[in-house]
Amino acid sequence: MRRLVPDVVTDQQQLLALPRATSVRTAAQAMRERHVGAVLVAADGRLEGIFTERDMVNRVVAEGRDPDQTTLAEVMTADPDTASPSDTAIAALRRMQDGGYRHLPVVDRGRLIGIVSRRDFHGEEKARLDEESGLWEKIG
Amino acid sequence: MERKIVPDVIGQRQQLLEMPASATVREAVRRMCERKVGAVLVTADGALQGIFTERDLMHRVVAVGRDPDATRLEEVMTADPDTVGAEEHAVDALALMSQRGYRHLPVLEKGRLIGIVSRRDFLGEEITIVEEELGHEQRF
Repeated sequence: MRRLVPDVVTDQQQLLALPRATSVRTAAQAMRERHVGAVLVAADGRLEGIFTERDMVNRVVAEGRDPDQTTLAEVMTADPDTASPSDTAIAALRRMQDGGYRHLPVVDRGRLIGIVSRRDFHGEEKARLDEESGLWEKIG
Repeated sequence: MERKIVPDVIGQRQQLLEMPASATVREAVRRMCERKVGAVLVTADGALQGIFTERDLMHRVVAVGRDPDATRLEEVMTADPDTVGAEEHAVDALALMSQRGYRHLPVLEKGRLIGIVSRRDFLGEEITIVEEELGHEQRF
């Protein structure tokens, strides 16, 4: 049975966590540099919120907010849904589907330890479609 | 039967979000927010000219200090984007998306823009794969 830790959450170089007072502009620059679609908002290793590309669309630019004058605290999703390290891959994927999330922070006894994104599951679906296509070639 | 983009991944009639290259980023983002989509297709007389996504908003507008009211889509879109044919296999679209890091791909039929496929459209595959893996492990 595949669990988030250690089977899915492998590369935590991508983990980007910033303080709540950070401006949206600064967060955007960091997200661009790190090639990530979400930034976690944390204080002392405790998760406070998450801010994603979709939030940039809906809560900042569509609303006419100034990215230099707006802090992550104002536009993040506070107290987001999280997963724990021992959760199964299927449970995490279902939670993402039900919630419409692309990212899920992973928290262990109150401590932020990582983030899992849908991209982490992508290799499996390609393998599945390849397999299907190979099967039909054999039959056909 | 091998799954094709149309009709297996996306329906035959999609409500596409299309805007002219002269539209501002602000106008585009408001429509993306209303329609709950992550990308807008830039067209002229139904012909595809470019694509602008929420990631482009982050990387090419907010992170670099461009003004959404003073920036036109033609300045920040991906011009002449990669596309897939409606009759192509789902596995090929997925492979292209993974290789190039795309979340969206415009779909053409006989050279005419008829739709857009996004990673979200493949989510069902992911759940199926992980469920099957789970079932497989339980048998052993």
